Amino acid sequence: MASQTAVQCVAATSRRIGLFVVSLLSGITAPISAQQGDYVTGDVSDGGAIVGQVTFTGTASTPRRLAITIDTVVCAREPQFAEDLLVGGGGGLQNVVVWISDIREGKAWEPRHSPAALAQNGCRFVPHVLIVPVGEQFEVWNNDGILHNVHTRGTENRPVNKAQPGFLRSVRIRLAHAEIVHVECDAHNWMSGWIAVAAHPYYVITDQDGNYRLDDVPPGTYTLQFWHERLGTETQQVTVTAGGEAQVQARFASR
Amino acid sequence: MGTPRISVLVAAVALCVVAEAAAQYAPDGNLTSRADLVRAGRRLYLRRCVFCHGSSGRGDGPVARYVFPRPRDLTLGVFKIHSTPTGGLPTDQDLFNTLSRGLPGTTMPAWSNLSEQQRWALVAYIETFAAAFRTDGRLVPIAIGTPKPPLPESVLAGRRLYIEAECWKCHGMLGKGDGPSAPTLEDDWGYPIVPADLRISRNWRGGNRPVDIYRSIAVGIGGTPMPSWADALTSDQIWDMTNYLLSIIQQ
Ligand code: HEC
Ligand code: HEC
Ligand SMILES: [Cu+2]
Repeated sequence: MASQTAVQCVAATSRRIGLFVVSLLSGITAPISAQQGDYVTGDVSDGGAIVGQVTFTGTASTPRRLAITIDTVVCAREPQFAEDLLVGGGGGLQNVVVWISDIREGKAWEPRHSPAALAQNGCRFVPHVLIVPVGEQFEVWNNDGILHNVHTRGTENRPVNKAQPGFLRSVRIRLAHAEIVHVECDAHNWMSGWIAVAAHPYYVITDQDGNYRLDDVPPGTYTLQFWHERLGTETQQVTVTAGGEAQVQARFASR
Repeated sequence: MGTPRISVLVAAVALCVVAEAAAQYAPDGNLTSRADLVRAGRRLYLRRCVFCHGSSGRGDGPVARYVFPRPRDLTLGVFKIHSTPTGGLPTDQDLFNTLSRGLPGTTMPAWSNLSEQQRWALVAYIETFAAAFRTDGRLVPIAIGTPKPPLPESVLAGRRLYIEAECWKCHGMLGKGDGPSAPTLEDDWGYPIVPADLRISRNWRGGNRPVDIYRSIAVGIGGTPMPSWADALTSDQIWDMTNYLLSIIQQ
């Protein structure tokens, strides 16, 4: 009796496992987590600035052309290119998030009239990298009139995944932990953007030529972090003096 | 093809031996504190769950690599079944329900043969794996309300929505799971995933009662491309959609 059950069990279980045998290899890119502490805001009257350029030292090939396979009428109106490595004038590296990781006290966020917003436009996330204050709602717009979905992936934040059909112009999302989070649309697998959930206002994104500037930094010595979606992170020390302008350049090599 | 077959057999034998041994396990006495519960849960986990979920909960037990979808990595705090809004952790009750029912269509068994107390102990222990259970606030389950009668108008409205809201983009026009976006879908653990076949509801992870279907549409299936529709559809529309799905289910 017992052995018969055992035989049945083995048969049933192996059938079940057999059905599911697939060996798959793939890794999850784990976005790094920004330091999150108790940040105190106040007036910064004697602040200095941190300015610089982030450059790419490798040879950048021209951005990869994306294969648009579905919703071509809306998504392939013009050729689309990968935005994961954009190198501009003088090797300047665009879309690097630069922030002070160990600042405890400083300016308040500038008041805004409307929440930070990420648009889905021609089946791309615009801007490619967006800074959002931690714990604050931000909007995602659908300008395309077709289904997208907004799917965030971080390590500190639980994944959020909201459907945004063509008739839903705007959805709101709130992320409670400071870290850089990947945003994807599962419906269009090439759509990729990033949200820097910022613990304080000293976050900036490098422009087309890799330049950045952080203003109103209280005098002191800080750790400056540089993050690029493909090239990883760099760290530098910087000392800011009252009314001064500290120059900090960063370099990323190809990986 | 020979080796995988043998491996499957070995895995199956291992699982059954485990199940046999576990059957002799006597339930605990009265558990008073959370710490007691966690301890009891740990003992049960080591007997019943390690083979798939691994001793550290990473979903890397000895049979994990023969199993698709893979056993959950319990340390990441990402769960498919939750009654809370998207981005929320499951409630204790959600985890209890998942253990009681299993995850249909996968190798995750139903643990209804364990006593309720044993299942609660497992819930307490599982929650020690992911830091999120300590650092994140727990969200409140969404309101589900009472099902709308599956009258023809409701079914028809649901059918229209299925097209307009583009469920078909993943699930396909006939619900077979073969929409244009289906081939490229991936879950949050990095594995390819197929959209559910909407005609075969016995394989749905979150159950196929009207309230289960409503919940799965409203909050989505955590960690997968199946999104939450709570912001996109009204409660009335989600019931219409539920009624439409109930009308196309074949088994
Ligand atoms: C035969 C392998 C196997 C065994 C044994 C097993 N599980 Fe699972 N478990 C799985 C698989 C596979 C999944 C993921 C299924 C999926 O992704 O749809 C899973 C998922 C889970 C989840 C996640 C549920 C969710 O909503 O995402 C929990 C919690 C869980 N198991 C707990 C347990 C506990 C507790 C035990 C022991 C009592 C156990 N499992 C035993 C295979 C197993
Ligand atoms: C972006 C792709 C995508 C879209 C759009 C989508 N789904 Fe899904 N859906 C999925 C995937 C993937 C799964 C399988 C999840 C799993 O295996 O754990 C799923 C699973 C389901 C399930 C089964 C849930 C369960 O308990 O396992 C139902 C029901 C469902 N979807 C209904 C819908 C409806 C209704 C819509 C439109 C309102 C819709 N889906 C739109 C991808 C999608
Ligand atoms: Cu999209």
